Amino acid sequence: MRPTARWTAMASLILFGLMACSSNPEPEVEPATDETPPAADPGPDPAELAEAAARSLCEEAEAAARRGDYDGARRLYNQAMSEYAGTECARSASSEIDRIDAIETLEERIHFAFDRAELSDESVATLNRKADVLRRHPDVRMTIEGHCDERGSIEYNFALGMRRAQAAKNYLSGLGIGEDRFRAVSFGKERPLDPGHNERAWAQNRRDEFVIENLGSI
Amino acid sequence: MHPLGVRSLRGSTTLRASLALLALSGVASQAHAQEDEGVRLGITYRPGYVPALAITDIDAEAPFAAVAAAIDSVIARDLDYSDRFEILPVPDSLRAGSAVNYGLWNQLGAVWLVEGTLTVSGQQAMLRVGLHDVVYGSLKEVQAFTLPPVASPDFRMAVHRISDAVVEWATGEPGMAASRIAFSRRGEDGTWDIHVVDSDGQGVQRATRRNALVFSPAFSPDGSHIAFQYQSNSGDESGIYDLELETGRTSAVTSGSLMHLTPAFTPDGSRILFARYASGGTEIFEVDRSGGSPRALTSTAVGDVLGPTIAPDGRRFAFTGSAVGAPQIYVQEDAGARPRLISRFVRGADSYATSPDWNPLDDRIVYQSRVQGQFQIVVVNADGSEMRLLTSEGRNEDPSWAPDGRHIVFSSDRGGYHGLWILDTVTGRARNLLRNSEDQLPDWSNALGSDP
Repeated sequence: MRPTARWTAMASLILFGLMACSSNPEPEVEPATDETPPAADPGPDPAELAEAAARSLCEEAEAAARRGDYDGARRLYNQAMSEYAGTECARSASSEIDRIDAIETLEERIHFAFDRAELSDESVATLNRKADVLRRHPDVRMTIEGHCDERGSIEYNFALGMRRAQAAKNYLSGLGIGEDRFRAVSFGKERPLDPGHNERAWAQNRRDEFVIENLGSI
Repeated sequence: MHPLGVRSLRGSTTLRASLALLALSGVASQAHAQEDEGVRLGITYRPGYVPALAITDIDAEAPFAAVAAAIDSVIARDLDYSDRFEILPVPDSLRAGSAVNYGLWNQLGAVWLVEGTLTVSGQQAMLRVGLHDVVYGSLKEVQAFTLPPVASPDFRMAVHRISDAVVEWATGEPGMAASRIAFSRRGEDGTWDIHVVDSDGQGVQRATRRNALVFSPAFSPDGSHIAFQYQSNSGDESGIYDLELETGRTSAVTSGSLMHLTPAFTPDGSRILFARYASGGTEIFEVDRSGGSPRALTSTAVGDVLGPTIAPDGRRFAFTGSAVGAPQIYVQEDAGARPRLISRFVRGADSYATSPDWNPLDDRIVYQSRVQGQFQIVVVNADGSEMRLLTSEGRNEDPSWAPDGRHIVFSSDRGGYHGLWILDTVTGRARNLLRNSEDQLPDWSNALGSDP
């Protein structure tokens, strides 16, 4: 991607607050320099070298997770576990992956049919997985944002988006998750995920977003 | 009959294209015949006789000739935009003159003649305007109007009020030149703020600077305040806010964590109707203009109820409701009464009707409805009768009536000109008010008096 094109893409992503969805290729991790040093050379301690290399992998992984690139983060933690077993980074990698899995589950979007706020079977399954995480971490709080596609009127879509957010909130409350842990808001059709004007874009945009306000014990 | 015969009937458009289109689709697919039932509407404009009107140059002493010419052009444009006259080009020999020669004007085809004299003494400017009935050869009305200084922000509005006086003298009906339109404009950062513009497209002003989600402006009856929906960018705060135009001060009328939207003042200005999320969807509430605890007017409990618009009697109101599974237009007599469906809903069809606005003078309601997959403006009586399509080109949304009860403003992308448009529902003549695709949700004020 040319630098200018990349900047434009980044700018529009920032505009929509969608840093989490960046699909820009991430720089490859520097290949680990794991050649065994010549025996004669006392050189640096191999264990220290491994710790340093693993530490940089962990830092990369944390940065990827912050960007919302959870797959990338998991890949890096797995790499640390397989290549630098026994390092501090590798020892924490497994719990870090669990943490990322929990966050990703909480953030997973659900989608709706046109002009509808009813939960699909797929959405119910997604919400059930969220409920499991929420039960394990009772101090987590979330904002549920309802969104619509561009086809209806501005005002009606604000109301419809609120019904979509409330549908998820009510379902989770019904499973015994405290109602006060969620805040439902609507952004109508003002914040599309996909700016396109076709059924594929519309289907993407009819959604609930789940924003974690308080990570709590995760 | 006129010496020059029949006047041109401007805007005598009878668009049968949409009817032909409906007929065609019926042939092409029987399966769609059922769906078309809900939208089988034709566009018909039945313009009557449009009398010709001439305006002579306003008489003024030399130092004030430029001001007089500016006033002349504002009045000429206002009278043209009123869509009630055909504006005659005036030959130089008749532009400025002393006594009115009815015979000559009659030969030119004029039915009405407007002439004026501007006198200035000190800071005080006075415009004496006369309307002559050329056919009867008599002065129909004459009145002297005091004008504020040219630099005053109220100068143009004062001239618009003179135009409206001329319309009323000639037709017995109110004009709409002295009015403003409020709307939401989206900024580059995706936030929205309220703007206002004069009815002739001049004087665009930004009225709020909240850099948030600011929607659905609604003028107070005297035009001095605007109520609007406010939502912070994070969604943390939401409420109906009131803006005093002169000072720019805003205050919350209602607020809370639940969404508040679509405010509308009652015709007496004492209360605001709005929609708020209750259980299962939004319902319509009313609240005193100064705030207090809202009272529920609807209890649908199914789908959303929003977008109230109040009849001139202050009792009945129309709104968008989605209890049938798709948004439709309803009229309700009073708080708690059973709402009556007035838009045409066909189950299983692509029915979608929102954004009603009640005519300030009579019982007609305009709203937007999906027709052949595209939003169009529909007008219907409050009892559901005499439904008529007003637009057929492009996407047309969020109509609002002018104080003259015959023009509407709406957002549209007709002809590729995306922005706010004004349509005369009598002749079908349309004009572009503002060309900006980020302008939405217009609300047309009442006639603005000299002392709002």
